[in-house]
Amino acid sequence: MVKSFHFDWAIFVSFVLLVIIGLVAVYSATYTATSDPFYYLKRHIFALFIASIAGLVAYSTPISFWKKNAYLIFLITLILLIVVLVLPSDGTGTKRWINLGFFKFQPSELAKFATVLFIAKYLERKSDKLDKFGPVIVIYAVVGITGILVAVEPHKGAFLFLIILTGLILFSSPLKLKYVLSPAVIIIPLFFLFFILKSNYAFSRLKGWLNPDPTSKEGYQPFQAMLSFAKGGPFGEGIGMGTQKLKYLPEIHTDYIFSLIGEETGLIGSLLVMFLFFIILYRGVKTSLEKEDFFTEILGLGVTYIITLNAVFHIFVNLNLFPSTGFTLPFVSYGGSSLIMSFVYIGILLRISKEATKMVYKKRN
Amino acid sequence: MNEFRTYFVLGVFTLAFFLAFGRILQVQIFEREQFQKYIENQYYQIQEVLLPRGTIFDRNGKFTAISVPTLSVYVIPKYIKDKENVAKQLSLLLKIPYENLRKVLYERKNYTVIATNVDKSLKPQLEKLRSDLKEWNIGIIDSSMRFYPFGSTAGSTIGCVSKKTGKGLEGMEYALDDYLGGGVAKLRFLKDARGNLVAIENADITKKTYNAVLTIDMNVQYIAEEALMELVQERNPLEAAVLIMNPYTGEILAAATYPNYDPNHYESYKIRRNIIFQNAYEVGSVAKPIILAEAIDEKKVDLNEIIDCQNGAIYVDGVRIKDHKRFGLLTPVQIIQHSSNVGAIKIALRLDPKSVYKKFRDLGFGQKTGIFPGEASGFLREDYRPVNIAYAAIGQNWTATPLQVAVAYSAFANGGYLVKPMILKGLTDDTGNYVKIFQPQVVKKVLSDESVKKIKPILKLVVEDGTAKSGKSDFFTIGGKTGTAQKYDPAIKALSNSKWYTWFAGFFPVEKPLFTVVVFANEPKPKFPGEHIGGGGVSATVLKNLVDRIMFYYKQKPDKVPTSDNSLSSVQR
Repeated sequence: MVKSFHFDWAIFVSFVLLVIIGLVAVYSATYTATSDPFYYLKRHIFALFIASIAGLVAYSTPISFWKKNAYLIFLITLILLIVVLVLPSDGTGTKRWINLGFFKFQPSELAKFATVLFIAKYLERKSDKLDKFGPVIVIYAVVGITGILVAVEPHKGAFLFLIILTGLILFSSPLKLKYVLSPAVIIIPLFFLFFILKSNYAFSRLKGWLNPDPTSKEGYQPFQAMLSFAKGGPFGEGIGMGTQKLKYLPEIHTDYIFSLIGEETGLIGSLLVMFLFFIILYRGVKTSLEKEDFFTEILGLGVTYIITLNAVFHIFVNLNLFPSTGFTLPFVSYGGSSLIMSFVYIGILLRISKEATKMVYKKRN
Repeated sequence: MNEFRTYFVLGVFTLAFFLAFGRILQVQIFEREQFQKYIENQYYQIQEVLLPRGTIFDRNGKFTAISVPTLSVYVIPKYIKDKENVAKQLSLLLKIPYENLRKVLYERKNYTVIATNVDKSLKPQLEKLRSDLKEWNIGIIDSSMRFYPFGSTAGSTIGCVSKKTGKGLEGMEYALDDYLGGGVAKLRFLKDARGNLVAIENADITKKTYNAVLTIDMNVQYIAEEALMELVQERNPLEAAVLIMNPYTGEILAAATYPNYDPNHYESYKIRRNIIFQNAYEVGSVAKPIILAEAIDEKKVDLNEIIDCQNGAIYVDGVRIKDHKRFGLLTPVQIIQHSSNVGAIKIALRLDPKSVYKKFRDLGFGQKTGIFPGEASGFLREDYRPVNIAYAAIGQNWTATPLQVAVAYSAFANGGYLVKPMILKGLTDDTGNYVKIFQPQVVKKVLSDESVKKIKPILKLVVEDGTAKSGKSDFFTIGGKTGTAQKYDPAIKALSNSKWYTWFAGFFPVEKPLFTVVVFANEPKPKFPGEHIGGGGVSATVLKNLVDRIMFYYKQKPDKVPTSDNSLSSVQR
């Protein structure tokens, strides 16, 4: 039963604030890039418009719709992931996008959501076999296949994202911990083996991450990102006053927008952004856990994790705590696919916040 | 859902946020300093640019010193892709040897200025070259260069501006530093990753500058310099100078010196003094009319009396002072006319020693006028012993700058007034309107009407039929006095008999003087062996070449009725 009009205002306000911050940041990042200072802003606003419609649709869609069509959506996503591989490349050597003319759609973005839908649906159906190892294997296998399709695009960051997302959802589920963590039995020794065999290389990579060499090809971008924060200092250079956008930091409007926020608004702005994401995370987890329905719970946690993981990956890349692999900052970064999907997630999350909560009193068996 | 494990995940995420926070703190706060230096290097380029300086005009509005906009070209070699081609193209455009450019491009890494003072008209070509080659690390900066259209004409007076600091080094350029502005601005350029300059920061180029108008008339200056060069060629002196001044206002119309220099290439000249203002010399007999004026004022001389010039020698305090000729009995007029030392000394010894020195000081000797940088004050020590008065009367033992001599003789020309000399007429703003006009200043009356009235004809006589007669004009009357001072010769530790300072100080036309003129030469050489060196003979060339030309340039009618004899002789000559 849908309760009377009520949704999670904390999530909504944080979301709106992040969108506003994004609007300012994208304009600031791009107004020097083209002869028309509003070129990117106009496109961003257009994407926001589409995304708002998508978000509204998602908000109006009953959760039962997602439950009913979860497998279908997952299947469509798999097909799209194959289609993107078959389609000719755009010339950069990567096949991540399906060009729809007015904007480029990124199926790997959809894959995250589809994976959540799949896990939620599958676990709901197997809710009587949650103490068995079987469901865990099936989920890992299916996500693995999806992940491989993403990885060959190549988009290794998205692959890693899917694996971690799945791990986190399963970890939060009532599945047995030993089963959930079982892949670690394979992964951790492999990891160590890699380290032992290629220790020099691994160490240099690790050192390269943390102290990037500004003159090397790989180290340049991470170093410039760190320079942005150093430039910003505690209070920032002032909105619009940043200079890293002057071709020093490539992709500043998408993969490095948090650096721009760090540069222009300093510690204060960066903290505010992180705090807003924390509110979405906290409220997302809180509302999801309250839900009556198992599918709704998993779906709510899943989209919350997607948003947060995206934000954390983006922030980590920007702070050079993670190698540069191209994550956008949800609601803030320029870029159609991720923006639309983020709005859909918020729509779903707000919808879920309206769904029936658990009975205070336990059902009698 | 497993609530505990879900909150654990929440906790892990929170930890991730805290990790990010810690990293931000590290980069933004704790290790910020380490990044600052890199930021400075990456973003900013300090470039010194010569700022445009106010123009210096002559009195007729001719440009004598002007700042011309130029370009500086720099490269950042480490970002230059096709070094060979860039070197080739730039060497063609900038006319710099290809090898030099190639060397710069290969051996330097960072920002290097490869050319300064490049003609501004090359800017579009340079920009086109840059965009054609897609070498964005060739940079162009606007700068300026000081240019002196007249070259060396009035060079030592106008002075020069340092090509490095943009500040005045010498002459009026130095004196006018405060008004003309200039100097260098340290421009802090913000550049983007391709090396394009994006913005200029910290540029203090809003300083208000003025233009200066000098009292110099470049035409008169040119005439004076030509006349001076005649003297130099004829006599090969160490130094020489011609100074022309308006006796009523003190405006300096021409200040020609030898040696002189071209301020456009000031760095190739070792000596950049302007001897008219900056050096003082013994004036010799030029002092005699002043002594006579003092004697008239003290009523201790009668112009008709006869003074025994003792066959050319006098002993004062046991020191023997000679004449250049063995004069017998002369009137005071003749003493000046033929420049008898003995006669002048005899008159001087009648005077109150203090008054003699007071007269010198009143006429401006012994003190700076304050119109030119590095001015000499001249040496004038008051010593009341008769021998010193004797020497003072014949212009030995004390020194004066050519400017001081001109000021003193202006007093004879203008009716006895001490004028403050002027070289700066006024200041104008960008639109050419005067913001300040310096008014001529008459300091005080220093010579009595009587003495001026009596001495002027004597000075005329000196030129017409005295020591300076070889310099007289066929068309205009000139009044003046020659001077020949013995130089102290360190080799023989006595006054030299072969090295002289020669002077002519005077004014023309005599009745209504328009110009005061001073001609000076240091160690002029004889034209032929055994020639007697004297102020009249040495200065004659200058007067011959100068007076008529200036008067005709000023469209003055001759005030002399030419005798048929005179005009004929001048034609025949």
